[in-house]
Amino acid sequence: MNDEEKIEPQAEPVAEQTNKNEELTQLQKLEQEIEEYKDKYLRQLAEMENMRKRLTKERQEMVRFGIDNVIADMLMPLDNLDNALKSATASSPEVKNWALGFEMILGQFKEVLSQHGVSAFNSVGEKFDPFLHEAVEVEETDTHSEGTILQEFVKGYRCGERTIRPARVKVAKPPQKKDL
Amino acid sequence: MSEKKKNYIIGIDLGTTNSCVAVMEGGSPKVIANAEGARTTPSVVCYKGTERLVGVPAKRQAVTNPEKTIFSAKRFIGRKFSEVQSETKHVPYKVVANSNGDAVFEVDGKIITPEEVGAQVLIKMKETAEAYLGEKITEAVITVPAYFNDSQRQSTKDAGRIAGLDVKRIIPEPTAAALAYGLDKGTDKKIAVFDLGGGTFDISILEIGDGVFEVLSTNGDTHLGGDDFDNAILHWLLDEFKKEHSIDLSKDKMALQRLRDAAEKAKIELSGTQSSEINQPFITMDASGPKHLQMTLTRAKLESLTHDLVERCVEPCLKALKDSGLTKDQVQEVILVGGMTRMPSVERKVKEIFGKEPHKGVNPDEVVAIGAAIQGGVLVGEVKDVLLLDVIPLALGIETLGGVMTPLVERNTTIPTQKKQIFSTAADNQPAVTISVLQGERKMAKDNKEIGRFDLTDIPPAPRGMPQIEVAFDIDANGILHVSAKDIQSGKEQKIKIEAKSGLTDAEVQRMLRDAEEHKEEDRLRKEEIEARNEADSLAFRAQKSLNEFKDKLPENIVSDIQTHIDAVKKALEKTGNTAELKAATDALNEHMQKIGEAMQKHSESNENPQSGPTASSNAKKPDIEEAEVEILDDEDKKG
Repeated sequence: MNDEEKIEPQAEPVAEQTNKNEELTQLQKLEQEIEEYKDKYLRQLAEMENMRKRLTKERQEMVRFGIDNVIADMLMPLDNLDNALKSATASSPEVKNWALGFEMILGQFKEVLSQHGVSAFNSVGEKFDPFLHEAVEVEETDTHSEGTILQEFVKGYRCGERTIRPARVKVAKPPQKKDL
Repeated sequence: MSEKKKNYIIGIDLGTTNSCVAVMEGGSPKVIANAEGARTTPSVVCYKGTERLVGVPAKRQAVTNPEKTIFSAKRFIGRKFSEVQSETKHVPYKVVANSNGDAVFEVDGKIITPEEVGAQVLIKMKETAEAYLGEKITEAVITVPAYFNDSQRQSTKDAGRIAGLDVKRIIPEPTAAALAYGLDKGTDKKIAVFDLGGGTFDISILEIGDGVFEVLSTNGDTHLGGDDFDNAILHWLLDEFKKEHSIDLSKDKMALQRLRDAAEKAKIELSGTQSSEINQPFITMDASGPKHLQMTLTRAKLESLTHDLVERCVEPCLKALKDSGLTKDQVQEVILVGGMTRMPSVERKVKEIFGKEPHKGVNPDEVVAIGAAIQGGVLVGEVKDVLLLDVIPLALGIETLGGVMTPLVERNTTIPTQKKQIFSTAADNQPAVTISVLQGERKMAKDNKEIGRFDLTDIPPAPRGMPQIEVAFDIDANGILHVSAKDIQSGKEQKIKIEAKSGLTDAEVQRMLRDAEEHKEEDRLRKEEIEARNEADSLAFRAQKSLNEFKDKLPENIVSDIQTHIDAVKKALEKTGNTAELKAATDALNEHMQKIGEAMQKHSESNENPQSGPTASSNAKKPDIEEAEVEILDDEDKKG
């Protein structure tokens, strides 16, 4: 457009016109540049704001998962204490008395857990749910419907809707039909 | 704003055992944790009627549904049934050939393609990214092994399409790893990528020139990975237990599960420690009572147990080198990928094979996804578009009382930035302060580099600690530092400009960082001493002042008592290198100072005098006011 005029600068007024046009395009260019920078700036600002929100959310989640993980790590030793006490039932009165004391300690631990909203849930007899249970073994049986939990090896724990640790279970399966 | 929507292209590492998703955020890659809080997701999909489970839940129910739980689908994607005969033996689900001979899965009499399984995993990764970014994701970069042929790449792309993703690029995993380490920049080089993951081992030799990657050769072992290492430990545990108690735990599913977990835990622990305790109380019972498993696994033992596994990595590496036509000396960089490369003996072996220290630093489980995200960022224009903001290499600060370096801007701060801090005078009626601008990581001013100096004069007469002098550091995007000091009361201001280039070379920065690390403890002690001295001096000063002021209103015994303590502090200040003694004297004085307050309180209560006790001034010093180093003005020339 204007380029053609630029190529042949003849009379004064035309040159002036060209200059004006040049100034105009220059101005447009600058305006466009400002627009671009403004846009980039606003985007960056918005991105910062979004990142801040994401970080806040992520931090909350990290705290939550952090606590969940520590609690989950604590559960195994607690299970073992539980197991230990169960096998103390057939012992001498003296041992039983000790066991009673330890049982109380276990009770204290469980109290701490429940204070943090963490509680064990029952699995035996329930229907298997991979969000709550981890299947370790299956057993073929007619006596229970498919997917029923027959035995619980490790107790499951949850806190509100979240599964802190899935229960490890044995699940019922219908006897294999001779199809293969 | 504008109609051009800001979009993300996510990077997905679609792995054989685990998958990982990352995205460029604010110019740097970020791995996104899934809803369960994990940064990687098992590549497992379960089909149960119309229900589909992906990831951890699918894994948890695997034993109840082995023939409907598809894992390792990547081993079958884009391949003919005839090619994967040997693979089918490793999996409990049914692999069949479809009409055109492709390997597909049969679940409940229905055909499911490996692409569909891959798509389920990709959907989960996509949802993970969407939950984090809060917007719909439609585009992705997906990685594949370097040895994947066109058919396998196309199938992976199809999996993306089924998942509702426009796959912008399929890139080889080793290329992604190299991108994550920024190795695409600079001159031509040859790179070896050693990838030992959960179930497969891959070695790739790449050549990079002008940002273009070429895979020169690949090799590997399709059935070697972390699980093999876990199994080696598990068998050792079972054998040892059998030797000790004559009980075979391998038949006890629950005990086996506990031991498998313990084995993995010990393996991970031994990457950082020399020995690991494996305690599994009440692992089983027999007629004589409960049995416990208690063993110590040393790193040396672990290495002997897994020696054969590590050795299996050697031959593929040598073959890959041979196929690439290179000698190990021609390979400039080595990158470690996959969780198993954290094991010290694996890393040692890599070093031995290639004769050089491998790159570490990026999480080996995430490095591929990170590289994919970087590629996504390049495609979306983010990497290019975002101004590459600089960081300052060393802390910037000023010298304060006792020759201490007080940083205002920490190292690694992204610029442009501005930091302000209020300082004060160290003597009564001090007319001027000297601002000595320092660069460096050392605690004492003299150990850092002075890059500028100026004076702020004509401070109105005031007791020490009263004037508020605001020192501001402003670094613009070009790295030019503007330092200003302003007396808030009088409004008088003085400033200098320090050019970026007046700073240090890279080598100097490195040397100064090393220096700071080496002298860390010594500097800390020195700074502690100075701080103790400053505190003691200032407390003795204030105590003396209060005492002189309120002498008449205080009982004589308190006056003399406090005077003794002030003298003790002053005496301790005469000596150097006695931080503990000085601190004790200061603490004692501080304690006795309270008596002034108490006595004054009594006095004021009896006199109904509302004046507050002077203790307030002894402890309630504004924490952000520090005393600037003082030099009586001599109109010294400005350096810089």
